[in-house]
Amino acid sequence: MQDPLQACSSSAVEVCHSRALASGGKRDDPVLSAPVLTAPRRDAQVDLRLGGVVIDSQLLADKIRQRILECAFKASKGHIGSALSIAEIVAAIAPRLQGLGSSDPGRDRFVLSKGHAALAWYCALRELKVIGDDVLATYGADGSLLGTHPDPALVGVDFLTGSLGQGFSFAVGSAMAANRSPTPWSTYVVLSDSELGEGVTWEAALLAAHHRCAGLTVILDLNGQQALGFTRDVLDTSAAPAAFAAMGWCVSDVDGHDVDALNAALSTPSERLAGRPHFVVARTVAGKGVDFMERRIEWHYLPMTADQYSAATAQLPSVADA
Amino acid sequence: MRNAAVAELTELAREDRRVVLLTADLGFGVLDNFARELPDQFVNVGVTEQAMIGVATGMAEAGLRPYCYTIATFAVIRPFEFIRNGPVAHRLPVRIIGVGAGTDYSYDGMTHYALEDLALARSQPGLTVYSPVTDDDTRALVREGHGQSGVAYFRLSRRGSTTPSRDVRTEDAQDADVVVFALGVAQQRAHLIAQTISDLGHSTSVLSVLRFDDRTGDDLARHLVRTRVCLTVEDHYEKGGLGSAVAEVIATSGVGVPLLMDAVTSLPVGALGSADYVEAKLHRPVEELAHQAVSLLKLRSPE
Repeated sequence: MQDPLQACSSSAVEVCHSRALASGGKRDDPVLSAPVLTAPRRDAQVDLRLGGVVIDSQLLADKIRQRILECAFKASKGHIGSALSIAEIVAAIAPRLQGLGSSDPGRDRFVLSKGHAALAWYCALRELKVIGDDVLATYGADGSLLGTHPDPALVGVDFLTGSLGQGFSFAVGSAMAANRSPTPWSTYVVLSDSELGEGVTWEAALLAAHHRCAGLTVILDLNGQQALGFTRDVLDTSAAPAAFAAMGWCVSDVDGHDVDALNAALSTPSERLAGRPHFVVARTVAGKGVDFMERRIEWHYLPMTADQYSAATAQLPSVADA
Repeated sequence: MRNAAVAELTELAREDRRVVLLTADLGFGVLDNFARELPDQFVNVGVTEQAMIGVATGMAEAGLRPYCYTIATFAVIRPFEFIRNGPVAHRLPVRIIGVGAGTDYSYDGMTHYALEDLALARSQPGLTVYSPVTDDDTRALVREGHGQSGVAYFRLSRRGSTTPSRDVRTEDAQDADVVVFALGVAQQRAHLIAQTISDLGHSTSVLSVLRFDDRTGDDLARHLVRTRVCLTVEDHYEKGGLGSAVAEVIATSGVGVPLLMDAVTSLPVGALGSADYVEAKLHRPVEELAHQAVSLLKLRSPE
């Protein structure tokens, strides 16, 4: 079997918002009006271009991670470990979404099936200027549209999630609808490994394969942890990648904190997908980037003290202001 | 009744190509014509009732008009949280067609009965429950529901009643000693009880509640103010069903009408049989209910 990373690394894959660019870019499109991150990495295997500018996915992830800590501390909220786990994943997905922040029925869809990591998505929306600082600052406040779990009342959120496994089934419906559309869109899902315990995950997985949902990509945030323990101890789901492959999914396996590997996997050419939905196993670390949070069960729930916040931010790479 | 629903839906699907009929592998002999004529608008999702509602949510968000078809308990009770967090939370036009209201599938036992589906469904903001009585009601309500923007649940029996319904929403209120509100094909038993009450010398009015939505309370109140005793007749658990809905109206509107509820109160396990057998097992006899209604009348205005 051909390695998807090798398949992609031989030539740079450009992912751009071709539809919007062809029309010169809609002025009201918040993605295209965003001052995107410059400074492309020299070793990047896949160039993600947004509005013609190459995105530095790692810099985007670093900024998202920094904002996660800042917002969680200010709001005194938990679920930090889960959000840090997907900083690179959302950094790789968000710039790909055509029409992100619009209500265009033909836009790409994103479903954060692990809704409890919503803060990571909010920070991605802020970095892409889909929402502003004023909106992000409401996180955890009365009257905010930014709950601990995402609600489509907020621009940039397509589906209500938080009940594990449900988001995946919404996404399969979206992908099946896309298959019926003359202008199909892509649908991306971020699934936690604990969601593999939900029965509906397997219903949705069978349906997506059976109905050839090639526009559907599920990124499994395989951090090996769930609320009360390590997944291998609570309910071993390690058979899942093989099971998805056996059901007829294209399965890729990447380091979920390596943006180049993520971008390469997400840019897997359609010839390789051959009509199959794509299951990207992203091996991640809960609490990634903060040593005292990494692989620690308690950081699924705990908020930070002031000392912990200082210690945590000191460990993150410095990022220039956008 | 299910044939009438699918016949009407087939017409709608011809007119509106956004219509997609999903089935969780049920509808043998009922969905064949639809599937044959409109294969691009038909998906048998397999036995995946939860995912079916989730998929319908994703489809509706993308602009399609999905209809989810299966046995009522599997259509509403099993995937209830998906209905709540999916079409209801997103305010999306997903329609659920549940066949086998109450104990319609009498021989199949409790796993196939829908006795709390109305309680669940009517709790949801923006969800309309349609409970037709006849085939004509069914066709009219399927078309009516298609024209609405919200979530809909069609609570169907396999076969409709042959006695026309009197719609609580459209019928003029009239004075009656006992008003009888019936749910779906329980209308037949309602008429039997009403006839017995009439034979005992008291006037009755039998009405059917065809829709549970935010106007139903007003519909019921309009008739309640013209009666002395109310009887509800339903093939549903007592708690949360039609009788409960009427009790809510009586309690909150200040209409001082005593209420007699004919509903299921015991666990429907053990001996089973025909629809008549199960009905007789789970409900009090018609004569007993009629005499109770008359007793309430006398209690209310002793002669």
